[in-house]
Amino acid sequence: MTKPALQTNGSPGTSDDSRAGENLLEIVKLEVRFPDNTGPVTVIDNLDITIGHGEILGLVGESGCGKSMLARSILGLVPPPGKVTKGKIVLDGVDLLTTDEATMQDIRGNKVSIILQEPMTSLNPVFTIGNQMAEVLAIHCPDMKRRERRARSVEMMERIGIQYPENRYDQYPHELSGGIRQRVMIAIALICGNVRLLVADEPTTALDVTIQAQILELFVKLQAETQMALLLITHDLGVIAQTAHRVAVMYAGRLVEISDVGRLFEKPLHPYTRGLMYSLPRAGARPRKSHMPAIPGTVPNLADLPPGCPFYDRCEYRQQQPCREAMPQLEQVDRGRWVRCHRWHELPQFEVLSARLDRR
Amino acid sequence: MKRAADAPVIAVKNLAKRFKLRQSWLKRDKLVVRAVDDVSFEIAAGSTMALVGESGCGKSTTAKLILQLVKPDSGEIYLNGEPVSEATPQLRQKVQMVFQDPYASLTPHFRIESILREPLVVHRICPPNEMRDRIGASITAVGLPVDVMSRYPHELSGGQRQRIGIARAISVNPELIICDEPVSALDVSIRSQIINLLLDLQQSHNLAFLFISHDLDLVAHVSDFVAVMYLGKIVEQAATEKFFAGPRHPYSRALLASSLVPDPKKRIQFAPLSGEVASPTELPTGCSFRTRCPLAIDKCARVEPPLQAIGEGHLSACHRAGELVSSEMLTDPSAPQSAINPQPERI
Amino acid sequence: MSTEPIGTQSEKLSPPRAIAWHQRANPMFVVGVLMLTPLILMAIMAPFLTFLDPLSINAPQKLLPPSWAHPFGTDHFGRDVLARIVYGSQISLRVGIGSTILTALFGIFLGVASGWYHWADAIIGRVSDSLMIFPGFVLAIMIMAAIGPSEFNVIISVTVLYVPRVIRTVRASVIEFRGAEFVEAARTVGAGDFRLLFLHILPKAAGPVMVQLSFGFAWAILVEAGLSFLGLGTPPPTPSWGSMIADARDFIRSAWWLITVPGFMITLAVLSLNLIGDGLRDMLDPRLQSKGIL
Repeated sequence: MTKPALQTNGSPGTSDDSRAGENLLEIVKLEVRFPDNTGPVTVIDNLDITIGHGEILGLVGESGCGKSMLARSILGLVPPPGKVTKGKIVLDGVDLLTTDEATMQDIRGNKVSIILQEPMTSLNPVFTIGNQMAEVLAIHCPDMKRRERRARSVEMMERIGIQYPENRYDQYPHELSGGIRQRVMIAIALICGNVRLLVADEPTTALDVTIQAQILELFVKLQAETQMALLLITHDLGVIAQTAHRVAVMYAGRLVEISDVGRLFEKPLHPYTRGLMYSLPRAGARPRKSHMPAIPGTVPNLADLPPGCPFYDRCEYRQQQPCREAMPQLEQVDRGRWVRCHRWHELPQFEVLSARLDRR
Repeated sequence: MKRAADAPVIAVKNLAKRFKLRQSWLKRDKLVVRAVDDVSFEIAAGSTMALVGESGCGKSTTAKLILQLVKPDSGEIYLNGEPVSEATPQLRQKVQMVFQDPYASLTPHFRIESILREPLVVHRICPPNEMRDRIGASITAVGLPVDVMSRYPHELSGGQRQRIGIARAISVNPELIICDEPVSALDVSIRSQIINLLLDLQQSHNLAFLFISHDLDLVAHVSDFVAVMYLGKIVEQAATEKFFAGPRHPYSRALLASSLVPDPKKRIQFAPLSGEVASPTELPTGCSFRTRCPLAIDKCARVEPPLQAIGEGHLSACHRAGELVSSEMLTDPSAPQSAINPQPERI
Repeated sequence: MSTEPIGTQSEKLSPPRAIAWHQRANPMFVVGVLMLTPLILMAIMAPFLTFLDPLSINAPQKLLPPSWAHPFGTDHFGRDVLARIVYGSQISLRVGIGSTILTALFGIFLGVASGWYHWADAIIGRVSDSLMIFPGFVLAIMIMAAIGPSEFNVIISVTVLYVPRVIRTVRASVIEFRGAEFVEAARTVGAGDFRLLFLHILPKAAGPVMVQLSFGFAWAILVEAGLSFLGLGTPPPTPSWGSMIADARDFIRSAWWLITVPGFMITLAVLSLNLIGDGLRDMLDPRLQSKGIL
């Protein structure tokens, strides 16, 4: 039981790494828009990111920051009336945005799979879970015989740590607990056996803490076994710290920081990331019942973004010039480290969570 | 209201509630779910008691029992030393609740003003001509501008809605506020704001809080006392400092070990607990945690461990609580594994 | 602590009333209203639209085809058909409005009771279920046969026919929302059953109930016409669209206007109200978007 090796490969958009050519997924200048009464709302703006082979990339952000939309774009499942308006999503040399729907269907569930937050609503209540697993096989491995499909499903359930898989095969989703349902979702996502990229959108948010630990352990184990890449989307920095190799932080439809996990938690660069880390409750870190450091204000409305930096209104380190005037660009700070902030080099030293009192 | 000099704001003694589930109308026998069993605690003014546990452990049912939304089967509830057995106006005023989901807990077709007016009207807190000022004052008290009064809940953000929920709770001068996961539905960057607001209000109004949460890090920060529930029972209860210094029940330890530390240098190596919570309709014999417990011994299957004092103000319901002094025990793979673990699951 | 900017979320959104309008002015709804408005105006302004008495018999002028003096011709007693149509619309609307009001009153009251109290549900549910097993019109005939023909009795029988549907609609909403968190929240601040039901829950049922009532209105007009056709509704000589058609049966070959004009009016009224109902439903719940005729 060793810690997953920390990989510091990868780059957001441009290659600055020897392994960059081996990226599994490259997203280039992605833009996703939704029409609105007043005009199109850009929910993902000019987003560049890569995922290496066998890499766990954590994507952090709050509700409405565009993280789920990114997951859906990769699978070509942006809900209408939303649309990918610009950019490329290249998986193993194939641009997923320009391929036809038939090829895309072939890729979904086969090379790229997705796991959603709520295991109850993503499983069809009127079919047994075995049925739902075998269905994926029927689509992607049409040559398989019925009996083989069953054997494969049972084997998969066993691998995923479901006890008594033979019995579970014939059960309905409502007969299973939340943890087992999420395991079934994982089994369905991986059953084809050639998944190269697994996208998990808040896979443990609906689960209890002890079950969450089990599921995350399973993710890490499966990733190590299969060497697939994992895009782990979450709002929980704890989940990221415990599993990811590399982290991308999103705010208001844009990437604001990219880093390997070690350096991100040691020295976050963007004021938003820093604010998030300061505001985490940590047992014993500060006097009980003292004020916790808080990021003021609310997440901005994407339909009505102010000019300049989208974090301006909530930023502790803002300056009229240049923050209000110009949108900061994602700039490279170090090998594998990127940040979207005009003033990142002027910020005070990040104090590792200690007795830091409210900034008020 | 007269008040016994040193009575705690709320005292709960041996509270119990079972729910009967009818399997189908053809079957006569009913499944019985032990939702809350023999729960006792008290909360003094100005202090916070945290109720911790996983979903279905009975923490929300305990809240509903105190609020008399659900009738307890047995046990007593005392408000300021006086027994409560039904939903009196006094109970409805002195005990308030802040809900988990600020989207679902505000009536969608009410303006903020009507939402905040309701408790004042119901409890005849103030004459009608002072109503607006009073509503304005409680809006300001939760850090919102007065002009939200004319808005509808859907026009506000999650954090703002939760502030309105808090304003509604404090508007009638309560003494106890039950906070049911008050921040878990909010964005991460908003949570601290709401926690700070609750802490401020507690201090300024000398409120007692029953703080229901699954987030141990948050509980460590806001509470004075902690009670851990598992399958309807309190399995450990202690002052917060004492609890976090050394939990004395294997389940508390597992919870603590499962909470994900936001530090990549401190990765947990494997999930501290295997298996899932036993079905509340078919509880195992003896200790209900033994099916998942890494420390279970034969005695655990035979005798249900009582919640008993193992130190000053520290209660634990574990036969082996006495041995649980070093923190390694739980994660040590050489720790004695009982033959009954893992318990075969019912298929 | 900081003050959050207000209204950053959705400045542009309109306030939600109890009824969430997801769509402005559904075309079906608009056409329905445009068709219904002249009918209502006709009923209100009847004395100004025609100076002829719908009851005055003028034997020499019987069965005249449409002309300038009698735009819709005359019937077998020489009465002006236009006048009878205009005054007949009053009956249709009176029956429609009367039964809609009664249906709403009883439906909401009984629906709330059966959604809120289990014991009431057992009684009201059984009774309304047993009313619903009869084909509507047959039940109406039975009631009218029992209580005798009159305009008021038509209203009563239509109400009895239609009230179970409204009860069901209200009951469903009450059951859906009685466990809602906002209701529980209101209860914890001390709101009593009355407040919970009438301020927090019932407004949520207003939309579906309005849809039901607009269909009920159409139904009432149709049932009144049907009963009058059979001689069980409004007694003669009062002009009712249904009895006009009944009288016209003998003259189908010789005087086509006698049957077509009231028939057209009934169709128009029922169609317009159904369009309004369908339109309302689509405006309230876009998921049910029916591929209607418009």
